[in-house]
Amino acid sequence: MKLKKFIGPIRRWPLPPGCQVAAMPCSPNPRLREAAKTIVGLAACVLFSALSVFAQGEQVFKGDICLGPEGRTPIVENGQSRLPCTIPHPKRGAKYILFNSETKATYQLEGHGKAKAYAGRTVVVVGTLDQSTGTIHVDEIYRAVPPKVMQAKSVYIFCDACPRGMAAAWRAAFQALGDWGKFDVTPDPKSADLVFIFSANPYVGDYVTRDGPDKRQVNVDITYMNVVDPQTGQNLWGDSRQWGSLFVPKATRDLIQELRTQMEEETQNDPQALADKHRSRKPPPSVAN
Amino acid sequence: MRIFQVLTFLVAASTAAYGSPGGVLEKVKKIQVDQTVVDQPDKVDNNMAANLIRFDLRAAVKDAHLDEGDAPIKAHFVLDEFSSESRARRLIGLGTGRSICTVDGKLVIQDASGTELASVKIHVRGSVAYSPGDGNDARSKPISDFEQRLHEEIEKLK
Repeated sequence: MKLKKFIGPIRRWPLPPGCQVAAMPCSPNPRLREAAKTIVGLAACVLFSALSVFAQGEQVFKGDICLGPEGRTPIVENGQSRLPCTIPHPKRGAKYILFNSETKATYQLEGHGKAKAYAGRTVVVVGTLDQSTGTIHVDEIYRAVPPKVMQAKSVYIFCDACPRGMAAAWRAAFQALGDWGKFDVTPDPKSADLVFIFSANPYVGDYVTRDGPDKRQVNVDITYMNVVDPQTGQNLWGDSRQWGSLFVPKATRDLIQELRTQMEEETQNDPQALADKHRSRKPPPSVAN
Repeated sequence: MRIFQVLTFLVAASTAAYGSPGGVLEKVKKIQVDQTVVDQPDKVDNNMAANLIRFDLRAAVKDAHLDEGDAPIKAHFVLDEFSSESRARRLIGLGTGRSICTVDGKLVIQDASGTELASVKIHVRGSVAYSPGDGNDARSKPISDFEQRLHEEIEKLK
């Protein structure tokens, strides 16, 4: 109905003299007139949708998904009380917030049921901010590359559980990181900001705690890459490729390329491009944290 | 008289040996590891070779308990020849994960003005930069054959 109202006046607009000549032969043909109507209608639709997206002012927000203060219980550490980001069993109906540790900004999240699934993780939220209430109307949430990875300068490549064909992962990673040029590949694990672990077995968070070799059986089928904090052993980023033993170097390069693409996208801050890229990308397999 | 001469010579020789300065790296705490120099690229069959060699040199400096970073004393490797094992040999060794390379060149130590303090010829046939099977302990670092050799040479210069 609204569209008709919009199209009606357009049809009644007088055409410029130059156009009249071309339009004259078309006017008597009802089929062509219908086609013209459709084209004008479609153009109006496209224009309206573009305007509505623009009006919404979609933005990209980064931060950690935490439970709202009402859903948490303060804990005391070293004599100081603090609110943990998440707790194992939050209260029913507990709301989640987005907390940016750099700007110390907190936003309420609305309109997205996935927030709970990302609790305790660093995410990128694409949505519209209501300034008056400090609420983000969420369109999409993606797991983000943590700030520690974004700010890191040096990495140590650790080829864990790398016998047989898996041994090729180290060199492939060394070459790929050299081509990228973002990180200094250091030979000293103690001075590295990050550890890139390549393995045929999934990472179980034991980089710091494990005493001795990985005793699990190694079947070189899946190439796992995990970006680990060398101080805590926490898995900051991870993915895998099930490409078999012969394609370990290719899988390694592809995993590094995935991390590189994700990091570059997040620095661009373009919500539409970010959303498109994430929609086209298949979801990564879950990794141990 | 002859005995006196012999004794004098022995005393002089031992004093000279005792009082002689140590290696060029004797009092050095920090070394800057520069890029690998490749004079004849046609004798290097791997485009990663220069980076791998520098990586091992940095590791060897760390192994020798020296700091690595901006410093007046600089080290680099002049790579004369680098050859990876042939495809046939790699196929024979498939399953072991070991990659054998041959490295020919020299380790060069320079001071801030670029004056050469030491130059050591090195020939190694073995693993370079990564040695599988040695590094399964998360807190230890695998040592390749080339890194081991560089470490030994640096220790001799201390």
